[in-house]
Amino acid sequence: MSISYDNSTKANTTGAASSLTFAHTVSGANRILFVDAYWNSSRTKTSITYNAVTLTEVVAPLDTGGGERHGMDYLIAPATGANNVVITLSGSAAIVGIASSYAGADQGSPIDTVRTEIGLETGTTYAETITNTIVDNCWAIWGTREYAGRTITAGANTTVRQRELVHYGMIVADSGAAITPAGAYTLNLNAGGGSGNWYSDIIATFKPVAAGAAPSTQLMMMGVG
Amino acid sequence: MRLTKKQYMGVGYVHAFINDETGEVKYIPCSELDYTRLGEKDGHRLNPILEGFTWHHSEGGTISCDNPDTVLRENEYVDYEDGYFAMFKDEKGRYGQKLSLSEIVNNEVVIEKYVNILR
Repeated sequence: MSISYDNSTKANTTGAASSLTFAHTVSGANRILFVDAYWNSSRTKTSITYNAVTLTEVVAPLDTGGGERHGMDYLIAPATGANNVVITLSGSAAIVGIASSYAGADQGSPIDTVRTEIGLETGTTYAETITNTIVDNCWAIWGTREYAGRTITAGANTTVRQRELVHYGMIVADSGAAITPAGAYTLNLNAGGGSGNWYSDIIATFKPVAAGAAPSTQLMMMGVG
Repeated sequence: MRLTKKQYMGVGYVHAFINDETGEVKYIPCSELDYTRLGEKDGHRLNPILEGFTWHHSEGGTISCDNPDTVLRENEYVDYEDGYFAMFKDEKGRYGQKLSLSEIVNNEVVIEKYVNILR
């Protein structure tokens, strides 16, 4: 079974809050949910939950250098249907959250490789390469930011899923297809209307479920029965 | 650009709805209990409903002020902790800054890095 995109949802606080709740709908078998989050202070992340289940960090939140934090968490086998994502911090900040779900993902140890980067880059195009994908047919998910408010379009090898323009200019994109063969892979974004201000990246590749593995939905039914 | 001072009313909780036709965002204050229930298992069943609007998200632990819907808006500020909390955009587009007492004078932000942006 190969990975497929399911759904993506974004929300942001109006101003400062210590917690943000929004709904995200998940479907499919062998599911994985990612939540890319950004907040504008040195507040620490208390938790990110989906239907009251705590997500696992892809990486610890990045200190982006300007007082902001950027984090990405994931959850294997999130509950299907519409459920609530809750991002909770240690204190008030402007919070943006983008939830993205996929089917066909490895249900054991799904994260293949991770790359992070902080610092301002400018230009009408923006490319980030992850050099060491290990497992064939992974997908890549990319949480980044363009804060000049440019119109963002996807470049080669990339599909844009969400663009946020209220607070930080967050973007979540992915490879839109399996990465094969494994190895280096470059994601690309384009800024329209002028040079973009690109800032802070978390890129994770995640593995497909192994051939012959039972879908997670069937395993759950066997457990109940 | 001048800021308007509002009265800080403590920690707040709000539901945000979007008007299905106009896109207007409407905030309805709620209790802490109403908010925290949304994050419990199957809490989505308690997601709020407002006729003519679609619930978009809810916020907990907000900086509540004396605006009718309690929400502190852009170019407003309140006394907060040992200084101020102000809502405005900086060079990176973000909202919501905690500022010291010396950083707002006569309702104007006087931090050097912000002066040219706000004027």
